[in-house]
Amino acid sequence: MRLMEAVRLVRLADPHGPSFRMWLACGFEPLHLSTFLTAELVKRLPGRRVSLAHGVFDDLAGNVSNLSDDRYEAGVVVMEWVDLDPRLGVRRLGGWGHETAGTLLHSVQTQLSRLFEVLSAASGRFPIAVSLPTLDPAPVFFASSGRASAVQLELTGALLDFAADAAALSDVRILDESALSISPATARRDIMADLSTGFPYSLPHASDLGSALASLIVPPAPKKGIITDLDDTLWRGLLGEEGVDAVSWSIEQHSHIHALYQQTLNAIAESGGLVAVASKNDPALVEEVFRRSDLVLRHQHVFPVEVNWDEKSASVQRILDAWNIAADDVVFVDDSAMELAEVAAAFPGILCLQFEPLNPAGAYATLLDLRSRFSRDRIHSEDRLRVSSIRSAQQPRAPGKLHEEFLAQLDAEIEFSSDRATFDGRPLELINKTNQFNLNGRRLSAGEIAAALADPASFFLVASYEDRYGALGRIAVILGWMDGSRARINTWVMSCRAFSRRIEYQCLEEVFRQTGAESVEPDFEETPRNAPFREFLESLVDRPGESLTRERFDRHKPPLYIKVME
Amino acid sequence: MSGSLEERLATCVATVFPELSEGEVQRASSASVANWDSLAMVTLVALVEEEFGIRMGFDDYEYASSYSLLLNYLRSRGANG
Repeated sequence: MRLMEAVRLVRLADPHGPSFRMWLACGFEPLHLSTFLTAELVKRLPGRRVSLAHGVFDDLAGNVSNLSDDRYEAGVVVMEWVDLDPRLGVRRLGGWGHETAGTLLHSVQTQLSRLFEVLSAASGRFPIAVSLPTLDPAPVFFASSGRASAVQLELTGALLDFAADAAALSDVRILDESALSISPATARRDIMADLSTGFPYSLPHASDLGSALASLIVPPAPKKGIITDLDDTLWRGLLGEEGVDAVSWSIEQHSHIHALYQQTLNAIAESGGLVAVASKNDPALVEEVFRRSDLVLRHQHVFPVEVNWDEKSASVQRILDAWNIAADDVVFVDDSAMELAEVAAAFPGILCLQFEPLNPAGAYATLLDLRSRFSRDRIHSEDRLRVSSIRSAQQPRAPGKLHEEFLAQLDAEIEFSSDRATFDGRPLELINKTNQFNLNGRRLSAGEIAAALADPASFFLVASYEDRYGALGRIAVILGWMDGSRARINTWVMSCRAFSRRIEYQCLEEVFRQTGAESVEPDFEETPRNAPFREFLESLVDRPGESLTRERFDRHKPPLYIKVME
Repeated sequence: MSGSLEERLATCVATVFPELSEGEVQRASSASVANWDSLAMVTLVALVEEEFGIRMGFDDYEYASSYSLLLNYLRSRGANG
């Protein structure tokens, strides 16, 4: 991003939108880094009034301690070597030589301990992104060209120890330097600006760093599912032509890149991603390959398996229906450019990636891309239940009276929790990634939720569900506050895996029961994808968002068969 | 950015001081614009450097105190539209 664009973007922040306040802690003049960082956040948080505050020059630890202020929704810490010892920067003269080098380790370790102390005290309130030094230290160390000095390596070791400890703190996110594209380090420093204004970065590096830090604070939503082709993608070879034993994924047969791909799919599935197959093939032959003991991909991770001679887009549609998720949450991988184009035309939102079996470097880059797109900070128990619950949801169901009988024999149980201790990452994740059964599409930060829950008039429910087909785990979250006898709900989300069981009605029943409200007022707002929520409200009131009385709810709610566990 | 030297410089100044009208930009200086402080000056210098592909030494910052001084400075550096 150019500085001109960044300055303009900063001005585009909605002055009337809900605020997003962030604290930038650094030891230098933040100048253009502040501009780029704000601009990147404005891009990622449309409709929010992004503001960024920072502290005084040359006091990183003091600035980090300001992160304990509850007014902020996020924090960024940008470290440079000069913050750990001024002699490692260029604005002070402390001597460059053996004598200086010998005294550096102790002062750097002392400063790192202090930084960890203040960072530790500030952590747990909201996301804090930390960037380790991106500039080389001043040349204090004398070593022959190309050789790292022992002191320099000890300093790096101390820094990495600090980073490992900091990464374990709640909601502290350490920037992976490989996310920065500006290299070498000499292109990152602007010595002229550092000496004249105290801002040490070149504009391209400031832009790069601002973008990477903003991605740590507001990470892109992970993809939810991957649909893969088989021939020359999951394995090398054409199954119909070459036979079950001839398709390969091994070092010996020079097709190991396919084994790595299968391993990637396992990793995606084990972190809660959905994996399906869409292939033009003979189903019986595919079954045989899936029974091969050397297959790296675990069969139980894959559902559905669409093997037929239909157009790929038809298979993809059936998979999306089974998963009950939108195309733009999904990645489609195929070796054929034509198949990719056909699917892309049918589903403009889907991300199509070409697997290049004869170009291992390109294929490996695809694997890295997939890992990044499906990466999650935390894996919840619900993530591991996802495939089994989708399989169970595909059990044939009959309409009308038979559907009532089906629901009645589910042995469904629901548990509601209002214990603030249960409001951990999973409810936050539900609020911030659910699209379809979502009251208004608003995303909330951990800090905003903590502030809402601190209000004594607030209430919240987290619902966990299971039935004879298995547990779904925590699948719904409701947040609201009491306004006299009215329960106003401003956040209500439910996982799409929980549809068609009337869990939403049971949740509303529980809101009435727990709050004793005479009416419920949901703060509904239509989004491009929340039609299921609108349809639910329309089953109870004339217009979505209208107040719903207890009496009207009792008259209009369908029969409920879910046992509420205490 | 395309356009003449004057237009490109005016865009830089207007980006830092969006409250100025088109006619005011060419008369703008630190004496006439209240927000023309040191922070705005550093931002303006960075925008000019980015736009014209030049570096301004600290001694040249004094030229970033008005549109006309900057225009003359850029002409003296051989920058063109």
